[in-house]
Parts: sequence; structure tokens; C-alpha cells
Amino acid sequence: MLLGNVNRHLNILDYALGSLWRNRFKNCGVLLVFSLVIFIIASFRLVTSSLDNSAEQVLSSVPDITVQKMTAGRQDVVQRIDIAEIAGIFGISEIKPRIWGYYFDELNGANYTVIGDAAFDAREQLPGLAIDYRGTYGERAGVSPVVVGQSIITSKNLVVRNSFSLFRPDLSLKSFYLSGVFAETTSLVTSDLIVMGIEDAADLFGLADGELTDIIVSVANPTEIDTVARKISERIVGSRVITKQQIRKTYRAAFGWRSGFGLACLLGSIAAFIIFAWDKASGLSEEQRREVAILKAVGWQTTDVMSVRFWESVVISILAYVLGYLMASAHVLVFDGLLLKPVLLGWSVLNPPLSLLPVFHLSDLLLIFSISVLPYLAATIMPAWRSALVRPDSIV
Amino acid sequence: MRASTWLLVLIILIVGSQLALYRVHSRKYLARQDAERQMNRIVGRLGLSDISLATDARYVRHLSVSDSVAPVMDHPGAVEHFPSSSFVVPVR
Repeated sequence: MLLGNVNRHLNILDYALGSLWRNRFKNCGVLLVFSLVIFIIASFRLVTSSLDNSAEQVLSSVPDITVQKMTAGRQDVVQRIDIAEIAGIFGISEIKPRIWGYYFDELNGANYTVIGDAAFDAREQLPGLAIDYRGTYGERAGVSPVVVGQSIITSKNLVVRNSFSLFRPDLSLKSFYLSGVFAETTSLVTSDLIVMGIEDAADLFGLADGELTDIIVSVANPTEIDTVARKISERIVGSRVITKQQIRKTYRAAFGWRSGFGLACLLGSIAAFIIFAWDKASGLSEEQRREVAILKAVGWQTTDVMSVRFWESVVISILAYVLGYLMASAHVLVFDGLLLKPVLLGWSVLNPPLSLLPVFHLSDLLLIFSISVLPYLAATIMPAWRSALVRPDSIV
Repeated sequence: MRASTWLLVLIILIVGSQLALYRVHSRKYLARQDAERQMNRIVGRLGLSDISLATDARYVRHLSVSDSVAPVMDHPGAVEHFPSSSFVVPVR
């Protein structure tokens, strides 16, 4: 009984495949467009899952607490004396002053992130951080050492030279020599960085003595971070205290379907689906009506004709699904999201080497299946039923 | 050969290619482990807060330490216009 049923459906499937082959140009077009829709949705999901995962892994060691100051709704400088205000809070294991900011390079329109590190030493710079040190070649009075990311090398053309200058706010020049370069494998966090001593950063940004951009606080017991953060915000008036938990929460939610691009992908897929549904529901061609009439005249039942139409839809949608997902996987894994990269980087002048490693979740597969294949199958039910109702004597 | 057998062969080929891509994934994953450890050390040592993707707008470069109103705070009536920010959900 079961075997007979399977055989019957196999025969119907063979007939449906033959029917699809007879209209191969139209059906290949539908398959192609449907695959592209799934490709776009799946690519978006794989790229964002890759970024989510990278952020989660890489940012697991972010500072416990970052203290900034706000004035008139904007970030302002923190005073070094504020460190003394919070130094007595029980539970704090380390407090580090820091100066960091953005440097807009007018020569090429690029934005760099400048980090002034309090423990940066010209002789023994940042050991153990995958930095290719260039030695102290270029060291002379008034020229400060820096360690830079890979994008800076390209942007400032530091392949053939090892010194460069940046403008202070008063347009005087401050000179630097390249003492090290971050490894390309760490570009996800270092691409646009220029790391220097904290005094050099203060000098570059024209900050007064004792002014910092933020204070980094380490807490001995992770369960006390929120309590220590609350105490800090009480002691430094107008402070904004950002905890490790908040930073990780930001990245967990950052790349989502609610983003503009995510919505664009969804809306695009819905629009394409409406076109499919419209195409399927817009009535039968004369040739299809004749085919159904002949089938019924030779003894096919209405359910058999509906089965043929159902199998046609299943074949197209499943093939489009696996093909679209395969293309999206290759796009993200092999080509590192080449088509989405321009959107991701926007107007950025620096072009970091982006290596994407997506996370394959069963839930994503099911989500894409449910917003693509299921609606398509649902949309073909009515036309299938209508086509199965054609009377043999109406045509033949 | 029956048409359904051809279909089965085609689906097996596609799924086989997908499995081959999973192998690429696992190789890439292994190669990435070392880099992730290094990046973790850099983030901890320098106190970095964000990954470096888009550098066009400061609030996209540093998502977690920016104000949620930063995109529209440059002047009264300012509107957000950086394309890279369309990839991220506003930080709350």
C-alpha cells in the first residue's frame, strides 16, 4: 500500500518534471530569480551572523568599565584628578587613564582612530600583541614612535617610508616614526589604529595637562561591576559609565533584521514573492488548460492534477532554496561577502581586509525556508486548484 | 534514467557542494583561532571597545561608546546619511 503510494507520487513527480522541462525557459527564469532572492536573504544573515560571532569572540576582553564625561549632551574630557575620586572605591583592581580620538586625514578623506596608551614604551612597545616591530630606526628628538594597523600603511603609503606627520589643531605638524605594524590577521580590531604614548596623543589633540578622554577601570570580581559602575557615576558628576555587559549587549543586537539593510533585504524578498504569486495566480495559459483537459479526459482525477502542480512548486522552491543557500555560503565563505562589503563599509576610505566566518544555525535555515519556500507553496495552492477544475469538454 | 533520478542527482550535487563548503569553513575556523586569541589580547591590553569595520562615521566605528542620538546631533535638523549605519540597529 505504502510502496504503491510512493510509486504513484514518483510517477506524478516524473510527469511534473517533464511538464517543467517543457516550459524550461520560463521555469528556469523563475528558479533563477527565486534563487537570487534566497541568496540575498541568506547572504545578509550569514554576514551578520559572522559579524555577531566575531564581535562576541573578539570583544570578550573589553574593559570592565569605561568612564567618560558628558557636557551639554556631548562627550567631554575627563580630568586626571577624577581618578583620585574613584580610586578609593572598594573592588577596583586597576585604573588606567586613556586618550583616544579620531583623526580626519584631509589628504585622502580617511578617518583614523588614535589611541594614546599610558604604558606605551618606545623601547619595549606592547609585547605579545602580534606586532611586527620595525626597531627604533627613525628615532630622533621630537619624532614619536607609533604602532599602526594595516590600513594606515596603505593610506599613508608607509610601505617605502617609515615616518609621517599629522596636524595638531593649530595646524602645526607633529612627526611620528613607524615602530611597528599590527599583523593583518588582527585587522578586525586594529585596521585603522594609530597607537602612541598618552603624552603624544595629548599633544596631537591639543589637550591641556591633566585632560583625558576616558578612564578604564578593571574590577576584581566580575559580579561587582554594576555596583562599582554605579558608585563611579555617583562620584564623578556628569559621567557616562559603560560596562562590559553593555558593550557586549550592543553587539548582540547591532546587526539585526531591524537594521535598514535587513529590512531592505526582507522587503525585496517580499516584493519578489508577490511577483511570483501574481505570476502563478494570474490565470492559466491556453496550453495549460488543454493539458489538464486531456489528462482528465484520459482518466486523471482532480487530486492527481493538483498533485502535479504541487510537485512542480515543490521542485522549483526546494531547488531555489538549496541553490540560493549554496551561492550565499560560497559568497560569504569563499568571497568574504564581496557584494555586501560596499554596503557594510559605506563611505569608508580605509578598506580593512575582511575575513568572514559565518555561523551556520539551523534556526536561520528554518527562518529562510519559512519566509521563502512556504509562502511560495501557499501561493500556488489556489492556481493549482483552479487548474485542476478545468472540465475536459471545455477544451477538447 | 527517470527524471526524478536526475533531480535526486542534482540535489545530491548541490548538498555535496554545501558540505564541501562546510569543510572550507572548518579550515578557516581553525586558522582563525590563533588570530582571535591575538585580537583578544590586543582588545584587553589597549582597552578597545569595538570592531573596526566602517570608519566613515564615528558612531559606526565605535557603536558601543557612542550616543544613540549621535547620528543626528551635528546640527539642529540634521539627518543621518551614512550608508554604513544602515547595517546596524540603533543602540539603545
